[in-house]
Amino acid sequence: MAKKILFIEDESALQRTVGDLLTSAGYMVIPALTGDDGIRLSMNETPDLILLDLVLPQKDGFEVLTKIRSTNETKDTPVIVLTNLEGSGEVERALSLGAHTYLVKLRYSLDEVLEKIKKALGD
Amino acid sequence: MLRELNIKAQCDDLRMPLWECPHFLFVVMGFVIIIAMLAINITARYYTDPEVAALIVIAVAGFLLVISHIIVGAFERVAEASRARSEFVSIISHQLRNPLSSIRWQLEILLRNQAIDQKTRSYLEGVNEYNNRMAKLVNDLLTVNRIENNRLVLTPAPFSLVDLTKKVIKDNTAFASASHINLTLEEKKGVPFVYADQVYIQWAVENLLGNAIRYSNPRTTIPLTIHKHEGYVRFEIVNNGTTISSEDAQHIFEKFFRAKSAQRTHTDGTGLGLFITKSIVEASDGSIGFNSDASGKTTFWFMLPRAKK
Repeated sequence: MAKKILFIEDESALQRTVGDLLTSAGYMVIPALTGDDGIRLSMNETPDLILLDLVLPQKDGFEVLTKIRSTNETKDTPVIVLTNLEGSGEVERALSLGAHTYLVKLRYSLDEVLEKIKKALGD
Repeated sequence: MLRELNIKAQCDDLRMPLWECPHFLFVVMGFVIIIAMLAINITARYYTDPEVAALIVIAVAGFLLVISHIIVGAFERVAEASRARSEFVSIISHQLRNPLSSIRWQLEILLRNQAIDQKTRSYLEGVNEYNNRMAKLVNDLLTVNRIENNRLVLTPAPFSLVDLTKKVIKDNTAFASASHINLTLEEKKGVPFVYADQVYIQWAVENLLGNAIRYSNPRTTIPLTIHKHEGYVRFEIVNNGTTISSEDAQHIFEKFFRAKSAQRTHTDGTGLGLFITKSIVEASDGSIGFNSDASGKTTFWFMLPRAKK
């Protein structure tokens, strides 16, 4: 049974690119384009890992992360923040809210992102 | 020097009218104080009444209060303008990063496809190179913005500068061999770990190595050495290329500065790399410098505090 990854990202181009990468690496990808969808799908689908952008329509990534951590089903699910925000405040806030890893998109290649995901999943 | 005396020019630089500009207002304040002192002196001769002197003092104090209020307002406007500018850089850079990272990752997937023909591949690699250059520029601008707003937050920890340098050399080997440049690392025994932020120090090493490759003569060797130096670990990189003139040497670590020789030979530089490198090294309690001799041999070095055992 393939592991499930919930990908919360509002840019459809990135949804496609990262989605293709993860699918070809053998994972099952559940896309969410808004913060609200992300929260709903995290509860309904109980993914093995959540990839989370911080700039999202409706609820932003911080609100989503807070909700994920306070919900019983997902409170231990590893969350990798994948964003282009890089202020010190944002990094600290995301980590203190319980993000597993903080990745700045423009500083990593896709292979490196995949590597981090595999590591967080223990694969 | 003369420029510093030219108040009008300085106010023009700040884009402020004379009567709102702190430089001009300070001069006015000075004059008011001098005139007030003279007035007190002169009136004291004709009026012995202390109430007159007190009145003058009160009037002058009131006037100074008004001027200082305007000056504070002027400083606030200057500070606000600078904050708005750095916010502008930050927003623009973030907006640029999203499309740039999308392009980068999509190209990565395209280039993985073995079926594309050689010509298409070389075009895509070209696009990828330009995209990476733009990504680096945007990342550098954000870092500069952070340095200038004192928001460079470093997370120091012990790590091996030798291992980090080996990794950077490995990543740059292809770039160096394109100009038939050989990279060697002379590793002295017993080099201790350094105590610094590994991510930022990697940028510093990448910047120095990138520069050394760019400004070296083809078919030369770039030797790198890392050794213990009292309480520090010293990193050195030598390249043979163009001499840095003593005139350029004074400005080499300044933001947006590019040496005349570099402007002629390499038009794609931004003049941000060395500024960032110096800021990172100094924020890590280290030091940085270089020397360049007439034969074209240039050595850049930096030292970082060693980690405590």
